[in-house]
Amino acid sequence: MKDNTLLIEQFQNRDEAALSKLYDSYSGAIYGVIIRMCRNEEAAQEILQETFMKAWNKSHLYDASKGKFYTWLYRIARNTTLNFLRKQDKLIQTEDLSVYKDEGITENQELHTELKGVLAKLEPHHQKAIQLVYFNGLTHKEAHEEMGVPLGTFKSYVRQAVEKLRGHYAKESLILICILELLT
Amino acid sequence: MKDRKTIIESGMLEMYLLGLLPDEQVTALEKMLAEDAVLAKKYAEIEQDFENVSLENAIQPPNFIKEDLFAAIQEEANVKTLPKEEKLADEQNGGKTVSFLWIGIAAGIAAMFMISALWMFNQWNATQNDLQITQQELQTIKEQIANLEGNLKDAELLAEVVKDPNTLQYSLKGNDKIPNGFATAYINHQDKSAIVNAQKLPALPADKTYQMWADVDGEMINMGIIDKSKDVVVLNYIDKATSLNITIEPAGGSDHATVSQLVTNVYL
Repeated sequence: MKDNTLLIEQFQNRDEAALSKLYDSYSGAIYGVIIRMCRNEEAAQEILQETFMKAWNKSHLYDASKGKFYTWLYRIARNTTLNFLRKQDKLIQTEDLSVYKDEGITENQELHTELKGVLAKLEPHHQKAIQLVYFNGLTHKEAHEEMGVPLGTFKSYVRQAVEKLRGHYAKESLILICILELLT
Repeated sequence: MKDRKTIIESGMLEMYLLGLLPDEQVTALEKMLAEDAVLAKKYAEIEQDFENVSLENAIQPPNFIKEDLFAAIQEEANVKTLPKEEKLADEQNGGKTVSFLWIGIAAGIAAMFMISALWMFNQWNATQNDLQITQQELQTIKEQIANLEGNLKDAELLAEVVKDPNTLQYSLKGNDKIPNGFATAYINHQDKSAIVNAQKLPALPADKTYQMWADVDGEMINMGIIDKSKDVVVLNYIDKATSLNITIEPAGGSDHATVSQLVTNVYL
């Protein structure tokens, strides 16, 4: 959804049809983030609903001049999921971290959360850095400990990964433009 | 605050996107993003890339979540309106039912009166505005009609003069003062009439005007000012003229021709 300014304005005016369209557009992407963070299908479904409820009730707080709607929604989902995880027993949280190391592959296969698209094409350490901060909701401090590299190195990984993503998407956009040019 | 390059290289934009930036840095960064278009563009690209990553890694949730979401929204809306309804029901069941009922009716009538008055006031305002707009449009149309009538009279006059076999036509080509300027004079010695089509004469500053003169025995006799706002200008017919001349004069015209400002002439 490249240009959804009107839709978001309608959403902010409590238009349920606009909410429905935004849900259809973003629920998959947001659910993908939540389920990778909490690794619990049932909880992820509840958190997804809660995320959209919060967005609906706080829609007046969204300021388009400060960023994209999806980023705002992502932050709500991330905070809601982290709150959910904090409510769990600390022991379970510790186990969750260990899950990333030992049982990650099995869980990914069960929940179908293996990474796809351009992110999956990045080098493993770049892929992991983005996965930890973006999809697993870790802070940079938690993530560098998780990867076993110094904080500065980890930050470089994130930076480099972001640059690589930009390169890939810019290339894809260019190819798309060329195809459209050829078709017209 | 750090400069743009430092912000980009430090990873602050990614941390801001993730909601990990400390509050004290958020305000400063938002200010910079609002003021620095290059930085804002960079952040927008990162946002778009992360959105793309999310969409590529989307997992479709079960359909019932959406249904539950809308059911929850409806329920929440009902809960918000319910207390008022309950309160009203309680009041109706209480001992003061009759007095509350009358107060309710009175309040209802007052509210309706207020709404009606407001509606009528709005309607009156809207009508006033419409009337004003209509009057303005009418004035514009009147002006357009007056212009068209003027143009029609000019065209009729020109047609009448041109079709008369006694009318002689003279071309007046501009000299180096108005190299592309051009006027056409129509002289009818039978009717003793003279008109000029001055459409092709270049526009002059507001403090200047064109004026036409007839040369009679070496003396320039005033034929009149050429009004550039008209296509066709009727001039004074001068007997025994040997040439027609146009000069540039101060606005309002001159009693004597300024020969140094001669822009065109033709011998009859």
